[in-house]
Amino acid sequence: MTSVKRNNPLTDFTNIPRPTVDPKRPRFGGGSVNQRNKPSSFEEDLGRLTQEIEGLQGSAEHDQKWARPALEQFDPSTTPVVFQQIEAEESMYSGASVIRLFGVTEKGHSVLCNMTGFCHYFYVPAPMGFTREDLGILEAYFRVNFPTAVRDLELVLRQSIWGYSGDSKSPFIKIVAQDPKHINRIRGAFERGELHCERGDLNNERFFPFPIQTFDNIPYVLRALVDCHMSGMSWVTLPAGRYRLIPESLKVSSCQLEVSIPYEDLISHPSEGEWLKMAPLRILSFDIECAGRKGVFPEPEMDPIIQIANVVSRHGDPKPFVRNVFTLDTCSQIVGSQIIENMNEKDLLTRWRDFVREVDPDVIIGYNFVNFDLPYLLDRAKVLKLSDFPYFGRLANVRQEMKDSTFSSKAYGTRESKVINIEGRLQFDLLQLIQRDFKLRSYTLNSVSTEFLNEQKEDVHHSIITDLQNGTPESRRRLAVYCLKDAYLPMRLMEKLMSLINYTEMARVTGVPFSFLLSRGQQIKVVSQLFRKAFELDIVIPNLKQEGSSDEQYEGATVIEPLRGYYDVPIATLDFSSLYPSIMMAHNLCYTTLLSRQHIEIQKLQKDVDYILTPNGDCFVKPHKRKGVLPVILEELLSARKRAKADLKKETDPFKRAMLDGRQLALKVSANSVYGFTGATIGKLPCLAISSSVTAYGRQMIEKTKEQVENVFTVANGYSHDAQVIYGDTDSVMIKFGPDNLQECMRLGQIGADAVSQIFVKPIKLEFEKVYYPYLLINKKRYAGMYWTTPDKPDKMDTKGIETVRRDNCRLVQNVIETVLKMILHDRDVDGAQEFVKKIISDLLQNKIDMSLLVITKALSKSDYAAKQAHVELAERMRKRDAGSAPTLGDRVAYVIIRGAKNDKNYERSEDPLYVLDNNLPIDTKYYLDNQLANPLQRIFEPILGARKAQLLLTGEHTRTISVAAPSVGGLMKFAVKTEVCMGCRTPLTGVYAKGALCKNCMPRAPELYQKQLETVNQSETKFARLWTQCQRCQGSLHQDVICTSKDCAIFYMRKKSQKDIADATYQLARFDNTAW
Amino acid sequence: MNIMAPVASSSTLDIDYLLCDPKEDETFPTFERRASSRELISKYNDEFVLKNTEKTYEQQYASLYFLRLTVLKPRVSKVAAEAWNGMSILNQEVKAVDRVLDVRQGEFCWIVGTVYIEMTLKPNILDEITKEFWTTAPISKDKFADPENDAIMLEDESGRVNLVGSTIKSELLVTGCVVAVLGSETTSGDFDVVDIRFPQLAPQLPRKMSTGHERKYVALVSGLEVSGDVHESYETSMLFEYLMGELGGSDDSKHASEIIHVIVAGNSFSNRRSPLSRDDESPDNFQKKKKKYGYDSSSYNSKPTEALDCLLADLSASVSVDIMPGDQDPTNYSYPQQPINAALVPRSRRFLGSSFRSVSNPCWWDIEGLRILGTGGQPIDDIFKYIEGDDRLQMMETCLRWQHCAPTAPDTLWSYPFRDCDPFILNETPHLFFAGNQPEFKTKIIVGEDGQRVRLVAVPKFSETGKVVLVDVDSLAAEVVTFALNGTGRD
Repeated sequence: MTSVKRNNPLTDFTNIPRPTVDPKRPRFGGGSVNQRNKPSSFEEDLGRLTQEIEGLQGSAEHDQKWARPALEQFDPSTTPVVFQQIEAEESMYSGASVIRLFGVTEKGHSVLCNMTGFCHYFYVPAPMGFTREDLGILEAYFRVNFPTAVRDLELVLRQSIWGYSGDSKSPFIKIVAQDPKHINRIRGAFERGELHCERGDLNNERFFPFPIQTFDNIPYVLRALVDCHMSGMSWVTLPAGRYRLIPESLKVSSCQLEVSIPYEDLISHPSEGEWLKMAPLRILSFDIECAGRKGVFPEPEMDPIIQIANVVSRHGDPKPFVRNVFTLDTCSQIVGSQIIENMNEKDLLTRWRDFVREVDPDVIIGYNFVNFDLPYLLDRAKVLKLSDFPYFGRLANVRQEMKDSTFSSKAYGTRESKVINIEGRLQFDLLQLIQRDFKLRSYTLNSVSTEFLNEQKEDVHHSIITDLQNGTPESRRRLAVYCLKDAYLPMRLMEKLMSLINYTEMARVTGVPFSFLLSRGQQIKVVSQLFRKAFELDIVIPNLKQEGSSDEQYEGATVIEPLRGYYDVPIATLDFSSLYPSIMMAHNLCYTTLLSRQHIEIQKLQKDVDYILTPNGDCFVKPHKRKGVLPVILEELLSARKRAKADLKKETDPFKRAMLDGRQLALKVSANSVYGFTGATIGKLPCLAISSSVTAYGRQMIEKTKEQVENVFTVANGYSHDAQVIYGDTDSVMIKFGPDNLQECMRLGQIGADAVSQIFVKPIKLEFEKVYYPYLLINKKRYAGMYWTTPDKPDKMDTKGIETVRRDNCRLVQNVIETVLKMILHDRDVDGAQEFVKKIISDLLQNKIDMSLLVITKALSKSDYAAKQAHVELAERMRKRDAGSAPTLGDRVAYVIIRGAKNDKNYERSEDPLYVLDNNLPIDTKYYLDNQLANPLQRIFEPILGARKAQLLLTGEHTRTISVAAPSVGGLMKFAVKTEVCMGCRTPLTGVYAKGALCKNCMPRAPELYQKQLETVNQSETKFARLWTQCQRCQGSLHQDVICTSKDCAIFYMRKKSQKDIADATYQLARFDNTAW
Repeated sequence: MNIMAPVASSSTLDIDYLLCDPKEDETFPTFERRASSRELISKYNDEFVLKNTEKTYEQQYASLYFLRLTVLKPRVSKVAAEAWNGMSILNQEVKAVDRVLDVRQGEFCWIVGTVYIEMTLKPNILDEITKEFWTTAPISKDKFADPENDAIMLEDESGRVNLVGSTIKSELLVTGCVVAVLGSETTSGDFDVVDIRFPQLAPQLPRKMSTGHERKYVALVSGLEVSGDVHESYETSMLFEYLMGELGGSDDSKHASEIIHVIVAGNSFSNRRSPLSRDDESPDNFQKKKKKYGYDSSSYNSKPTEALDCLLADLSASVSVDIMPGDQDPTNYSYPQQPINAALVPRSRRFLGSSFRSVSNPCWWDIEGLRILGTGGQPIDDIFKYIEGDDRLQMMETCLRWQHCAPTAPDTLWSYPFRDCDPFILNETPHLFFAGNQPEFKTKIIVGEDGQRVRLVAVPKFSETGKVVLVDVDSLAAEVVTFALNGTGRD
């Protein structure tokens, strides 16, 4: 008898009195009696528990501590205040404009700091002959025509960022506004030429007779941050004695500390070294549940909020310190979580608001809470006439209001969303973030958590929610658990994706406030960096009228025409690292170095000595004349990235590692976005001379690389093969060196990279990174291969542009494509892959593919689709069938394509998978073959087999056998009489055999046919058991029925189908019981 | 039923004697098998037998767990109350809390519920179908337990709570058993367990000791795996000859005649693919076979069925036989397994109603007052996968103490979704509890708190060990008869 390994054999015994004389208790591995005189685990456990229990005052479930740690008394004249600012906004304080900073100290106290005295300004070029004395005239003019708008005028020397015109600076008038809100009025007057201020000389000439370009147009907040060298999410110190504490009675916020300080006195720390840390930010994640009516998506006018679940954690702590659910009506306890029962909805909302105020979160997160939960709360409060509800920001008297906003960005597309002001609290919607940063098949919380947390989430349809609410305290508890999970998941997603850290680093690197990152596009980040650099160098930036259209195109990157095919030899890949940034650095491409022909002539500059001519035909001065601002910014970003990466290698603390990794990523993204900024035609400062030159260089470099590689690596030069560039795109080239030896190819790749790098200007560098072997080149931007970085073993299978994640594909396509690629590339078994495809197609046509693999899902968004769409049509038909269960706006509609009449359109043949199962409707397998599988398969196999053979895959012998399910509704079925047929030969059974399974002739085959049917039963029994037990596991309860209806879950339809399959199979088996054998 | 055998002084036979003609006056003793009562306990077995026409699949598994807890909770509560009531810890009296979610932090209490163990390694069908086809290589692992990462939970219809503490880690527990735990909720919401109680052995009927001096044996054999090939295992033939009293000398025949009943405990047929195998779908396999599209009648092999039928028919003529299915046999795969359809064994079927029965798995017998519970071994094999260690007798014993013969059903032991009962609950403790198709022969006697004595037998696979187990109906002694050919390397 082998005994079981146990961690601590002493734990085997407990000395609690037992009723029996010989308490022989089952222990695995046979508990030995000798162990009795050792201290028992019970005693140990007791000791530990005693301490813990004594530490517990009351039950923590009822007494989770919400409030922040109390602020201790301190002396402002000797104690500095140090905090991490998380939000900066424009505000008023004692009648003047100030920048309001919200932040948190290292000890977790909340701070509101009014940064006073900073005035907004802009520049206009001084007119010819404008003198200091003239300032007085202008000032007087403003006093009269723009009373109290202008605070100060200054004559300064600045340089415009646009174009090189020597090093000399020219005079600009700096116009400082009294109040930032006046600034646009004054600026407008300049830009429209409306200033009638006369020079006071004899001609009564005006200073500004024509419209004039102004300089430096950025938001007040950003201006202040730039001038104070403060970046988003950075730390600041208010030195002792320099700030003023605002007395309790005058406080406008719920912050523990409210202070004011002149902006010159505030010390801003660059986010480096010790200032890389994070304050213990309080993060609230919440989720609401509403009781909808059958068939209608919940509407705040009608449907009450019944639960709000909250999870609050401190950044850096492993576990949340508050877990609670506010419920309507009674609700049973949830272990470790506080249940706050409310007897009416008004109380529920009010107490939740009080909770938010007390717990005072710095960051509010959730999943789609910006567009659903928060608006619903506000609307609902309005309906309930709870006028004091929408006050849960940090500013006690500021009401939370909702606005619609449309966010449009080239990179992220156009999105409509709600904007709700919650002063002092950052809003971080994980849905928005994930939509921005990841391309996924589906963005439901369920599929996102499957993707990132590898966890299925139970999905309770909103029509069931009402039933649960109207049930018992237990059923409401079930709902509460579900709600709590929905509140907890965003928290876990955020941790897993390190979003807060990465976005914090992005804010620090680019200098913009955190809230800009989600609410604004890419440009603001570059703008911020540009202004920061310009501020240092006395450079001013023109306020360009946003004109031109987004249609204006310039030639993009080049693609070397792919030599399509399946390569069973190593293909080396050479990449230009940070291609576009390095081009800009290498050739000194910038606004400040851009030369006009005119200037070349005036300054008598010499080509290639003083300036260069880009392949695009633009001229830029060389760095010895003047170093461009953009190259400097890029150099700083890239060297900062290098530093961060080096630090990352040394760092062992996981938290700091995460910060550093987030930082290097942010730096990389920032560097790459500079090029895009210059090319954004409807942007802040587009300069196609730069962006077109960059891409032109890029194209040239790819061509040169190809040429160089194919010239150097030749048989003539002593190499074993002539190398061939089979494909190149933007910043990489794929080279077939020839040898089938991986190591040799890697060596050649390295030599090639070094050799080609030589011909380019530094810092452009061609790097050898990886080898694909084998490599399947399907088309431009579509390829796949095994990815090797060391000759020992492949790192992964890499695919580009192969549509496995496209949402309008059914899962079968994804599975088949992935398997085929794996067989071709990983196993190098092209024949096997073909056989596999044949088998799948044959199974498909014979109806053997599980229907859940054929389900296509699409979200039902707006109801006014112009073109008829399958899922919209289906939703309409389902509504007619049963309004209660039909999908509503926002739901995902799942459908399969069924066989229809000959001329039916596809959209007419979409059907609800459940309906298909119930009624045995025949699937249009041909549709799936032709419209779903054919193209992707063709694409993969064509380069390998050639068009004709690839076609054969889809039409060969294996496609001859077809079976179609006989529908149990509609058409002739109403008139049909069901007759059983013999399971051996399919003859209809009559007479004594009618109720059995077999006809007389097939009787001798009874054991065989019986066992065959048995096999079917067993397979479906196993499937039934595995699926339903899996759902039990996923829902986290054995004792409750599964109610999840997640259409995104692979199991959902399979589960339903297995119920039907097993019933059918068992019925067929039962026929043998009635057989006279 | 008479068995004729030549007289021989010992089991070592004299070759010369065997080769000569029988003498005129030579007499042959006759050993007669005693008629004996060998009832199936229908009040239990009826719940195992499901009619195909009455099976429904609209229901889920929750009711099975609900019923299990409803029946077992009072039983384990009784044990727990005796152990813990009146005990006080930190001047605080330990109290019973009826529902898991009524546990409050800071108080010592005990609760009863169903164990659920969350295992990261547990085969997960969702992973299998969402990951690409090719990662679904059949799981070859035989153990899924990972004590470092497995989370043990206790749940009832009100909710579940995570169990922590060294006590719980060292305990043999599987998903589906019902236990009582004593402890307290920690700040993190876990339940720190200091002691644990099982329902313990159910009541046992007193055994009627026979008055006679004759020995009476029940023979247990499993894993015959009859193939019907020309090279049918020689050991199998020897076994059947032995059981029929045709093997060996008169001592052997006498011994054989004392066998009053034979239980064939599962996996009597060979070559039957397990329904779990995904051979069909794994790309590695299908490409090797020449693919035939459409119906293929050549895949059916009738030989095992026919051969076994012959053997059973012969045996039934000599001794009463019950055949129980195992996981490879031609009946439904999920638990409880239904009796093998008698239509498959047309010859043996003639003895239905007299000496041949096809029974369910699991099954209860009353043989001469000896109450027997036996399984084809699946519950034990399944438990084995989800715990550390390999002491199968211990698992069997623990099942009896859980008062449940298949606790992992339905979580990992696939089973029928019962709606009205949990037939696997043990309302009585058998005298003999066996599990078929185990890797090796093991046996022991366990004694319960109320003096229950149970013989546990792990019946080895005959096809691998050549062993058959004889259990003495009166003394509960278990012995093994091994069939082996010299030089085959078996003992």
